[in-house]
Amino acid sequence: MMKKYAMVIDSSLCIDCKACMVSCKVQNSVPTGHWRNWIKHTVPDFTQGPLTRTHFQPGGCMQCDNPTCVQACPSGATYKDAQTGVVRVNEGLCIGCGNCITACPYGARFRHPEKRVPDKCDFCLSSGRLERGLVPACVDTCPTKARVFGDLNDPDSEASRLLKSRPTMRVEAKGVDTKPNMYYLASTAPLDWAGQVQFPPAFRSMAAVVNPVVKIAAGVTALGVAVMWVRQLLSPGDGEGESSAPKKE
Amino acid sequence: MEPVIDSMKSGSVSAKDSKRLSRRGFLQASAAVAATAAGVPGVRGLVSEAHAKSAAPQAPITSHYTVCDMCFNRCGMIARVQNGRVVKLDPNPKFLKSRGMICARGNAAIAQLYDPDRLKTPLLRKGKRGEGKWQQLSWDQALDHMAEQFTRIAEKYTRCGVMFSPGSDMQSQFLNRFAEVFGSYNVTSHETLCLLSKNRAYLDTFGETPYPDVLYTKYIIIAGANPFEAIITPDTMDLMEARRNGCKIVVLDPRYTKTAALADEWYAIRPGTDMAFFLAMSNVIIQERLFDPDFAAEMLHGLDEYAAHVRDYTPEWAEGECGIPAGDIRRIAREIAKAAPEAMVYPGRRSSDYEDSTQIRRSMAIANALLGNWDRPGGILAAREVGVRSPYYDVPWYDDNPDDRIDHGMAPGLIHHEGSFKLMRDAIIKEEPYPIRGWFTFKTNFMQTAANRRKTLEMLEHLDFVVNADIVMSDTAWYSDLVLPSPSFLERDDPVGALQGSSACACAVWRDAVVPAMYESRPMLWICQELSRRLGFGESFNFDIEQYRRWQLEGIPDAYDVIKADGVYYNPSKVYGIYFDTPLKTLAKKIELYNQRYVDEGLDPMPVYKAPRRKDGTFRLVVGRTAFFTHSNTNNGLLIEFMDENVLWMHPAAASRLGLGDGEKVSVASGAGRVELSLKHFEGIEEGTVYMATGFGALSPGLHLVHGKGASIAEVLEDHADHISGNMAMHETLVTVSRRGA
Amino acid sequence: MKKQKFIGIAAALILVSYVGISVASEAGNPRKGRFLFRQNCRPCHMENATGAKPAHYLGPDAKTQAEWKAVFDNHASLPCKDEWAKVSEKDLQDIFSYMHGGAKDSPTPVKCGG
Repeated sequence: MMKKYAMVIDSSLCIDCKACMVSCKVQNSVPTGHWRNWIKHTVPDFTQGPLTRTHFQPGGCMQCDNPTCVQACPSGATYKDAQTGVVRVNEGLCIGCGNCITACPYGARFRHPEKRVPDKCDFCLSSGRLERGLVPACVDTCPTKARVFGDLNDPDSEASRLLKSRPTMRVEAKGVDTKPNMYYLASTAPLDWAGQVQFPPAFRSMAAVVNPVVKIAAGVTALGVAVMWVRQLLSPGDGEGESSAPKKE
Repeated sequence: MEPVIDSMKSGSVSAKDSKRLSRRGFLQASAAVAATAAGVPGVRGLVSEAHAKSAAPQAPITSHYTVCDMCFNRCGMIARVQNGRVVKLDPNPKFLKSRGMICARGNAAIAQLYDPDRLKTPLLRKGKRGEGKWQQLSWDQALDHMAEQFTRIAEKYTRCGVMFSPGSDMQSQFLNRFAEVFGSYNVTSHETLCLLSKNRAYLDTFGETPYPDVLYTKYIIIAGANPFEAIITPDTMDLMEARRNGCKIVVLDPRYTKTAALADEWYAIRPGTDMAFFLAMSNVIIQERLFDPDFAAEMLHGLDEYAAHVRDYTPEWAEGECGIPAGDIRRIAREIAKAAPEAMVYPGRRSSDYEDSTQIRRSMAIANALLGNWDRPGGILAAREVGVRSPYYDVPWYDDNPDDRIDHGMAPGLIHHEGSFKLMRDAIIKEEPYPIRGWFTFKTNFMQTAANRRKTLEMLEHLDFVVNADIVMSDTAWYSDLVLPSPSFLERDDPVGALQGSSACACAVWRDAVVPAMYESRPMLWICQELSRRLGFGESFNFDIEQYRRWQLEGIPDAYDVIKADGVYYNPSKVYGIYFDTPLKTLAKKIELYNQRYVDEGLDPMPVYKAPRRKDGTFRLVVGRTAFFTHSNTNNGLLIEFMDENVLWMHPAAASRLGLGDGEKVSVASGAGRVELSLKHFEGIEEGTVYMATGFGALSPGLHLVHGKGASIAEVLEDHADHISGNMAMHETLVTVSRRGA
Repeated sequence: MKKQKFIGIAAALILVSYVGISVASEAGNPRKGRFLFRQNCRPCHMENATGAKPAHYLGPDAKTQAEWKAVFDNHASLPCKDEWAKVSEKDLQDIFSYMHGGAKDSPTPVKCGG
């Protein structure tokens, strides 16, 4: 049975305790200075006096149904797993070009400093948690159970029930409908932080003349692959700043 | 009836949920797959199965119940072990007290276990204290040396000449036992920097220390507490669940904490004026007769006196003191009285704030009494029966010992098994009423947590022998004469611990070692056994942990097997109405609004407001938790990423008056000392208040992440004491802030 | 009742908890009283070393201060009056200090075994 894993987050429950971030980091051996998930927050308006409020918003890779990272990947290393709906990285195929990182409007990817391949949330699939009957590390540990994980193909999953019974919102990227699979229960904020999708130059030059399907295919033909290999060879070491993962406070 | 638990779809836990070999991992994808994928990626990039096949056999993962030790809460955990290493800590979904969660600190316990800074062998100081010259000792050498030093001090200065400081650890009961069998009354711990004022206040009002039933409360005022950040289980999670069910949250705090950020109303109250608010709130409730008259007649002692007492403490008066508009005070009083008895003033935990903290907390306790919430759902509960026993032991008597603890009589409401670190330190420095020359500390770090670090250093000059057992070289260890490596909680078998979680649970737990003790680390029981044998009272520790657990659980015979199977035993003991047919344990047998014992001691029988001192050009320095550090336990490779250096919060209006820019290095000076750190402009702090996090500016190079990073708040906090409980008063320091070098 | 929060956990295991406020005016030494109670009264009133509880198990918090006063004023009428007779006045005063100071209505009650 095909799954369509998703996360439904009641961010009004989030207390910004960082448990999800550490749990994820340990489970997935995420290197120091990088994160697979995050907690964003609104900027408090202190002119509101006693009514001043902050809204915290946990997040991570949105496992989009229209994943710009997959479109930007010239080698097919980044793919949408049909079995689970999770956007994954086949590290063996990765040429390390970094296009997927800039193509993600959510900053969900970073280049692993040792492996030199993109790293991101995969709902703890590769850690084996799901296989062992456990929910993703961030979901399991959450003190207020703000994160709910489930299979949208299963109408009885808690995630499906929440989607059916409560209004939800998604964080939309600028200019691209990414169709994210991370849902926020209504009235959550901030929702306007997602950035621009940045496709590599080879893509952009063709965008004007070819249809989208051809565009993607073209991006990985000889020209595209060659460009990416060269970029990989020339790419500097760590800290080139391509990671847009959130900075610590 | 446990709404939180419903949402816990956590993993199942069989004793062995080790799984078959994983065939995942993608490093060896076949060439064919690669070619296909690279050649024709669909728009969606949908690729399946073949991608997921590879061969990277993994060792099985085993699961082990344990209980967290990253703070005092004791949350239930399952440790996942692979190839002999702890690879992950997950919440125990059957653990009601922690509501099936682990916080950031609990998740980061793995970094404590595998901390490169861990102490590995016993170390004997060779150079001057703090110089960092150490000689490795064998355990035999270390224990012989300790026995020799303790004997020498006992002979010359009596057995009370050794002070003991057991930290908040499940093995601390062994050090308590050791201290008493050794013959010293001088035991003090971290609690005297923490919750004693609140405990004193509630004992002197209700005859009990309170457990708030946050889950079922409908209206909560939180003052002097920050439960969304200073995580306390189950209160933190229950507060969110209560909020989801419509509970109104009002926060009084000079800081915009995470609790304030999620409250319905937040008032940046002037620090030290909480009592004004609660007296005025009580005034409204009494004047407008918003209390339950039947409850008052049956349960309250001294209501008429209290009514007269608060008559002049009007909301208008309180506004002038605390800065909260009178109309809001009146409205909040009416609202909370209407929600009562499912309403409360949150008792809080750390109350080591003011010289008047016991009375401040009494004004809060009395407000609870007026809400009639005692022993009822959504209110303030008494401790429940857990049934864990304290195994018996003989205590000796030494005629040459002094009559009592060194700090006896120095505060009228001293809690005698804790005393007061602040008063003891003063007495040791004065060597009055008698000298103390030895100190045995276990997992406490007074050097960083007790106000006025210089005074702690001065105290050390009066001590001949300081021994410290800890996991890492804390600042206190760095200045010790002998340092003993302790295992983390994942490496040892612990005795049974009894836990209270208000309506969530009353439960018993223990820990079995998840992995063997690393290096030469040894648990406190073993140290007490070896040392007591050398000192001639080995029979007092003539048991193993298994025997000890059996003794502890004798009153609840089922518990043993249940803990073995589930990691926790719940006693289905009474939650509400514990005092339904029993008089309260106060002198009046009722809730004491008026305390006769206080009169006898020359104290105010009802809380009298005293305005906090103010001085132009100064700020009041306050302390407070983050969600990711416990006190001075900052040297954690995972948690340090959230804050690698502390900063001073100051309101931008105050900063601009001083011409201090955001991010600028400033000097903070008080009567205790001077520190330097970066300034952070933050509108979320009352203009006369500044704040910095605890646990930075460490003296010990053995804490490589925080040594010399940021500033130590202990260096600049003056040491004041709560007049009644002797608890450290850590919000009594007025500081000046200036540009560094100015 | 477990004053658990005093030490964060398992404060049921806190063993010495005397009273500050009320004992100040008492004459005996409660610390010695604790020792003497165990010396003289343990066979009938405290568990033995292996944990077995006697029938008349009790500790300071078994009674109120007033009740303890009554017990000590009228000990000649107790079943164990012969045992009382073996204890000196001074020692009785110390034991009284301990029991009275840790009574259940004292500011800091002391559990049996504590």
